Amino acid sequence: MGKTLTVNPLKTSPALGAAYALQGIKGAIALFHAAPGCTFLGKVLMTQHVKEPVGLVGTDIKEMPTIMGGLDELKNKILDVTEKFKPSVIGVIGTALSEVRGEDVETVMSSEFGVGSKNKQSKGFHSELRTHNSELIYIPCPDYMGGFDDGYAKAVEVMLENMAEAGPVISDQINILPSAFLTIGDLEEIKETVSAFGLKPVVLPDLSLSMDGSKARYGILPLDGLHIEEIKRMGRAAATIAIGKSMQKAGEILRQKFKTPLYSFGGLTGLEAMDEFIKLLMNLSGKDAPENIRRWRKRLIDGMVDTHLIMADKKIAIGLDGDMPSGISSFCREMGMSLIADCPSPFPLPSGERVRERGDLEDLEDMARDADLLIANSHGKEISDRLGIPLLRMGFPVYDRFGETLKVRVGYRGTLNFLFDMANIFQEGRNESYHRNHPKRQGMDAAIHSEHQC
Amino acid sequence: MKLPNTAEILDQPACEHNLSVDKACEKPKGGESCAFDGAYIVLNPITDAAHLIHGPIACCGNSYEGRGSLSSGSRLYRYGFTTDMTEMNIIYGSEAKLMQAVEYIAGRYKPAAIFVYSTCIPSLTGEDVETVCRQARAKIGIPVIPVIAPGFLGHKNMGNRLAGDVLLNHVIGTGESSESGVRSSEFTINLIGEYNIAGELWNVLPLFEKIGIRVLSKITGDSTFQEITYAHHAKLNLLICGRALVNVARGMETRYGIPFREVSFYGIRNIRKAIVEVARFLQDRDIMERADEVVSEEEMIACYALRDYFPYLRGKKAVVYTGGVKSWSMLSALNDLGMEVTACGVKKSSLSDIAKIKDLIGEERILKDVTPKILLDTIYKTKADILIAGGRNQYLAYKEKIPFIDINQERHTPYAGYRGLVNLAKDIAKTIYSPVWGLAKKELIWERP
Repeated sequence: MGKTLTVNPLKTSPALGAAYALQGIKGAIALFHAAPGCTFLGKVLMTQHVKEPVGLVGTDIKEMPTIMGGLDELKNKILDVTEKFKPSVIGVIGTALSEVRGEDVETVMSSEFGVGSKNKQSKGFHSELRTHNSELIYIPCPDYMGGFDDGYAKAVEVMLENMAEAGPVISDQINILPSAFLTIGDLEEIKETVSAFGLKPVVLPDLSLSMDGSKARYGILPLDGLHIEEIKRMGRAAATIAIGKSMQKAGEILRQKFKTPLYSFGGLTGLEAMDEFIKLLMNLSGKDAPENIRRWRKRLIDGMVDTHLIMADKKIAIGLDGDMPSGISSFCREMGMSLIADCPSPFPLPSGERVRERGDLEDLEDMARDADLLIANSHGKEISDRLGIPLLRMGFPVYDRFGETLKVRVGYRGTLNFLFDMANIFQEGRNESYHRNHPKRQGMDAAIHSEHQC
Repeated sequence: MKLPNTAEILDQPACEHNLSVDKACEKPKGGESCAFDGAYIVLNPITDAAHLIHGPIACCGNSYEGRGSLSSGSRLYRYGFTTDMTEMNIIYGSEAKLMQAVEYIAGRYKPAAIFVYSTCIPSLTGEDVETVCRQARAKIGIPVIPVIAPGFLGHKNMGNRLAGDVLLNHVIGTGESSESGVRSSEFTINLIGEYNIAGELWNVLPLFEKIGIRVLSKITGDSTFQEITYAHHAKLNLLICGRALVNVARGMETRYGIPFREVSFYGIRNIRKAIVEVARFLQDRDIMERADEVVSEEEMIACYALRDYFPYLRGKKAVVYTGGVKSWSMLSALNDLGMEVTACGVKKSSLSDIAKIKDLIGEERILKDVTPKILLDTIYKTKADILIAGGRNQYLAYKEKIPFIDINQERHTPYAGYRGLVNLAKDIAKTIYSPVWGLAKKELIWERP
């Protein structure tokens, strides 16, 4: 019988992705137009992942508003949030419930709050928003369309569409549009690398300033992050670099509106991808690669040579959401590893490798029985236990590890870290007979043993 | 499909305030989860059942494996099964898809039963989940139970009660006495509203075993579907979390004549009270004597284990914010440890919980409204040493460099039972006396004059 359900989903909701993107904007708040659980469960999950307070509230619509319409609730909540938090941006996020109901959020926002009229002094613009200079945007993210990275990308698109402004080009400014699944550590590495060429990176959203653990006092809004003024200036950058396929569309918005050249990368993990990235930065800056970056490249090559033997025949089962697998997998191929992948947005695989498009962990479990390593989010733990295969956690959510958000897996340095993380798991397996203890492997080991005795 | 009548669900004659004007048990005050989640929380710990969430991805994708209910047997309950509704499913309906999903689960996973949760979207588009479940049951031959719990029906507590109704109407009473093997002379009880978070049940069950009382059904922590079907063979129900499942206790009293007692296993005095109450009810000399013996012995062991912590905890001040049974019983447990509760948030407590809290710490220490700001202000104002609350407030405390322990569903350490109390003492001491706080507040070297 065909499979019509999802078992152990990798996917989380697009609305949550949109809320996550807003956490990288200074003073922003996400407002779910939804039943209470959407907000509550989303907030709990995100808090467990980032281990930080999260700026997310909801309209908590109940039975009557579901039937009669919840726009009054929404209007009141917007006013309430504005007064209470004085946010820089209120991102109203539409969910399955509000979309299926057909809530005309946009009309309310333009008629009640004057959204869309550029002139904030105009009569339509609500005085409460004007007083606090709050931007109001609407990000429709029905749960039945896409996943975490789709909602995240949508939020970035809406922000750029609504806020980026034209003006004279700022010659050293480079827009960076990072995929939802890059870690905060990754963002930091990317910013450092771009800055090393004398360029000024503007990262939308910049979670490395808000969700990195530097928040020294309590507040639900991001105390730091990308400023609204900086988003406005993104229309004036010399170039845009989109990292991850999901960010392509946001980059296109800037290209079409402001003619900003767009450069796209699948990911920044692996030698080839990084060489391309550095080449681009050299071209954009007209500068040579700094000594420090060259040195990390040498170290990466050295590490790849050192570990190639242990890596070469390994089968990696990847169960990751969105465009995360493409960066990770291209590097795994550089190391001669073979891939078993189960991802919602598939990428081309050489023949002999297996891939499915469903994107749930049940399929991965079926496909991964002979894998040497699983790469998945925290939900992969149960599979890892059942199959006796080690798990490297990444993606979203990772709630049972400390420091995941600060892990670096991009750049020459990050690639090397990632490589060593994997190599050491295999080394551990070799020494501690990780596999030999697993019942399925015992027969094989006995066979190998008798072969040696002959 | 008919949506459940929410007014009826909230109107529980077992609640003391039904004598007063205020009829509704629970007025949701915001900041809580939804009815779907509430229902899922209650039913999900049934370990050998499959829990299929009919809806778009958010309901399952954002919540499965989210709670710390542990199992000594099947791990099927940890699987996230969802129909993951798409736009096409919403437009053209997805009853056939749901049927196929149920059959798939039955074929591959051989569950004892399948609970099908109807969330906001299928409830809104009017999918007939009940009929699908009835047809599926006829087809696959195991119970397929509809849980009509769209999130918009209300807050978490509403969902708890909806799940309670599901248990009463579809599960409890469907099992035969041949299955339970209960002898009429046997002393049998059920535990209602205990979810085995972090394995707390396993600190409690051995006590009853030693005394000679059989815990027949655990509703629902670490339970099997079958044990709940014959819960009606027990002599007494122990209601652990009254706020969540009072309707189950009440319903079993009406239908099967099984009385209930509300008890808690947090803190030495509460445990003694609970055990003594059960023993007295069963009216058996041997049981009463053994209960006294077991409790006295366990108390001695616990006090011995606690002796190193008492000097460190005595007089330490805590602000407590939790819900349900813990909101009052945790206060008593902290008193057992010699600590003082300077304030207690009651936003998530029922009126009967609040009455108990009043008795324990006095009305002036009750925080009716709880916001992050109010919590922080109270901690500073009362010079509290620690915040004891749910995981959502963890980063409120940590950002402000305030010692904290999590006593809600995401915690990893069991705090119930005697061993649990020792864990609690140890964790409180560990956080309050950690050297980290001093270092975190150290003067910045680059800001010295």
